[in-house]
Amino acid sequence: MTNPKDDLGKGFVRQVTRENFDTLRHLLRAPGAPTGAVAVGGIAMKVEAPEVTAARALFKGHGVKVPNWFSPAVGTASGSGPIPTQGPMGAPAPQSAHAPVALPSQPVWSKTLSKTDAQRQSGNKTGDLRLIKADQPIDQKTFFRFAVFGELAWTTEPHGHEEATGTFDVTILGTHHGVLPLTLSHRPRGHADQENYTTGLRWGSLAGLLRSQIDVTKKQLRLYSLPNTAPADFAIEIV
Amino acid sequence: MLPYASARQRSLAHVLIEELDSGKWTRFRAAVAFAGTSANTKELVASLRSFAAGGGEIAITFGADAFGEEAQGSEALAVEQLLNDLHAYPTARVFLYHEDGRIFHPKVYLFDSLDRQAALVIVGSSNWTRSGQIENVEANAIVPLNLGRSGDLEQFKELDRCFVEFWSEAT
Repeated sequence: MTNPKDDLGKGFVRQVTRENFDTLRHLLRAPGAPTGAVAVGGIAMKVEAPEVTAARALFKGHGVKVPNWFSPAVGTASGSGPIPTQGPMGAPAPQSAHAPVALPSQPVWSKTLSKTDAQRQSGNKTGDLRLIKADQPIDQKTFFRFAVFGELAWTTEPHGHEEATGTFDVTILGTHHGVLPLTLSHRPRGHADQENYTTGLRWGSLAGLLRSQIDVTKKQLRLYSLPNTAPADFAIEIV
Repeated sequence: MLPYASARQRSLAHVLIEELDSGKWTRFRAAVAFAGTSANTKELVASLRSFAAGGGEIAITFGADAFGEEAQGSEALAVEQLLNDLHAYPTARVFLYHEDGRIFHPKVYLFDSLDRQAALVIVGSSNWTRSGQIENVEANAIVPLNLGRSGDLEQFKELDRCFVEFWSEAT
């Protein structure tokens, strides 16, 4: 009889061949075809296609839970409380493979979110968080691109702007949403004042949530840079 | 270390091709987060095919994480190209890693020859993309291991275990 602990972390890899590729390809990126964000009742909802579900089902294992070695001290500025058992609007709380990371004592940047940041402005939603000075002693034209996110792998896109993707441990109003990949966009030649920002953080898979379920207008966003031992590059906390 | 090395023809792509063609190694394994078609250059593919044709074992594991509205993750076409290019060689295998809630994010390239008691580990920031292997400012440590020395052997065993137990599937 095998000990389940012997299987920890195993079972998440499959050999891909020409014979089974059509089954597994749904987990891979088709150029120019973003994953299934479809309109349901006028609201953009992310719906997983059946073939994706079937492909994901092939990967079964006992995941390794990363211990939260560095618990924040009681009363720190992190403000992170217990994970609620219910999510917004009575929906179940999002499932996350990790506990929220222990946050450093000080964020590298913070901002009170505008309606535009919160994806609640009228008209077209921007899909991103504008990274601006926000009353802090920084040069927003360089601070985010070269200081905060400088270690990410930036690529220059066809239109001249740069992009990089980092991993973010995200907690919104006390609910932990796990570690998510989020993409940054930087326009090197752009102007950068409060109205015309140079660097933005795309909400990615969180955009729909912010648009339709959680209103974070006027809430404070805190951005943390995490140590190399953490399970994510950065943390975002909205309180 | 390989920052700015492309200008001197020492990008990661150059190193991979050079090592595959060197005749020194019997096995090439890689565990890489993202795969892009741009990395499947005819030169690299030719070296992979030649390596496999000579009996060399190839095992490449890519992350299968298609996530977010930006649709990040390995390109299906990149994996399909490699499958087609290496189809004729039974010693060449490609794997996909997918774990809900966790991103497959290593960039490790490992050559070894147990007969020669030698290995070469390349670990750093380069994905299996042209930008990661050639164009970006990336940093990769290239670490030769002497498997006749206990310290190096222990390092190799630890990495080998990751490939065997976690990043490949027994066939």
